[in-house]
Amino acid sequence: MAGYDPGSFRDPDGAVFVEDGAVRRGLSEQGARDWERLAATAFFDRLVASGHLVRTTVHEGAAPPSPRGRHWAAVLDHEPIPVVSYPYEWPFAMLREAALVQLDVLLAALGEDMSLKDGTAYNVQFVGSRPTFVDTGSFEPSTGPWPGYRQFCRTMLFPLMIQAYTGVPYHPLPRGSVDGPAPSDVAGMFSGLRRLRKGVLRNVTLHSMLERRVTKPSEQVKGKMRSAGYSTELAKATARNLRKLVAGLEVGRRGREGSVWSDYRDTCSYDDADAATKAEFVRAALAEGDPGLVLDLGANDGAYSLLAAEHAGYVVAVDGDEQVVDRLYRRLRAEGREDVLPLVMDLADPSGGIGWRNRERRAFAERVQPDVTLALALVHHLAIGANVPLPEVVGWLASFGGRLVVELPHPEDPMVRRLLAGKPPGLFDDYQRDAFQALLAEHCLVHRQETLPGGTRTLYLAEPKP
Amino acid sequence: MIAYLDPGSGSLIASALVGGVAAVGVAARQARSRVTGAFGRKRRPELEPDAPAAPDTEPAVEPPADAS
Repeated sequence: MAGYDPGSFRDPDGAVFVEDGAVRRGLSEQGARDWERLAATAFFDRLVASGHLVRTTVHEGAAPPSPRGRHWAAVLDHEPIPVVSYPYEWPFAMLREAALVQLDVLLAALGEDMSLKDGTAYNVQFVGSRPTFVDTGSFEPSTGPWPGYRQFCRTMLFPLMIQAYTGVPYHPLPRGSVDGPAPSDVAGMFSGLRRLRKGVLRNVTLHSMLERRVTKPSEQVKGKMRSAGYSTELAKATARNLRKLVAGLEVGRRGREGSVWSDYRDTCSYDDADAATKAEFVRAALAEGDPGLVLDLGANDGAYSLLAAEHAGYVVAVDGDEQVVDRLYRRLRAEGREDVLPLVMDLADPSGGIGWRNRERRAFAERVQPDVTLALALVHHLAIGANVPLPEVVGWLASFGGRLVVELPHPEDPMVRRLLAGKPPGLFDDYQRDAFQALLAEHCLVHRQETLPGGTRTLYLAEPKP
Repeated sequence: MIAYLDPGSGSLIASALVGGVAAVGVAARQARSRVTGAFGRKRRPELEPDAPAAPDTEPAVEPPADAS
């Protein structure tokens, strides 16, 4: 089963594998029947054209046996997603957009008597700011209530409600458990007056109570709901009400206070000459070699990511501040940008592998192979702010494999002094410009370096040694 | 056709409740047949030894015990 996507094993009717750089999906006989039905619908073409559903065609070729050792009846070709990302790496607005697409796809399917067999957030991926539903294997003939409702709650609705109603970022929850928080977990968070917030009573309180009390097998319950008159119309009403609820969820002002970086651009220490020199250095570095993928680590408001997008095919902008990334996402979405993917991640604690055998959802570094990595105004935060030894920082940056554009703020830089002020004296005596240069030269060939006019920061363009 | 994912019986009913006004019709029909079902059990208790011990702890939209 080499080549199979390690996250694509739960549904026996289909599995995704990568072959010659193409993303393909093997289908069982049942899966092939569902695909034929999907391909014949009007909504399929409509959703593909609008970008809400991944472009998919039939592949005339063999497939390796399924992860369960069976042969497939048909194989599909999917348009590849430039860089795969996960819900715990998305800011609030991004998860909300993903949830809306999930529901729009469900509503479109219900309109033609089809439904989705699951409802996990991992079925949505982003191309830049555009969410797209990627699991064509999820479509099946509609047979009553939406079976994906619970997954939708656990991976999308609950995280959104938690952040909207409590102000606490939801990210540790899906990262800590690949299935997301259960209704009973969330019911504990929404006690007292919070139960009155929109959608809580039915989706959380009653849901948790029903889950505890109804013990009949779900197939039996489904059959009885159908015989009592549960129709596709009712499933549509559920999806429509969920859509209205999700669209109205927003992070209140209270949840948006106290961000460390949200005003960074206004308060940071660059003067105009430094900023212009830095931009010119970065621009020149990117103009060489026609990079396909640029990784901007510590992207902040995305200014350099947007600059990089002028020279690169695709940019991944990563920052640890959810609020700043959320703002960047909203801006990119408003502009319809598909070339910059903004992600939230603490770079001293990047996403690891989670789920089955820690492979179902892959570690961040396995999903990104950049041609160029930008690490601007980042090294001091890792080396001093997070106590990561300088050799580790340089080794980590080089491990991405692409060319490096690194900025080193010198020990006398105001931002470095501010960081050092909170640490015992002498602890970071090895944070020195020549020590950094020696480490960089150990891992890389340094092509170019330039100290900014202010004299407290140096930029390097370096290429990891093979 | 059996789904690969168990949707959860409580979640199925909860999703119907989220449907709002439209769910009321189904809930009412189910409640009505549950009432008739309750009478039916009283008349023939020996035919349903496996009937749930405490049907009244179940929610209003719980389907009737004898529907199938």
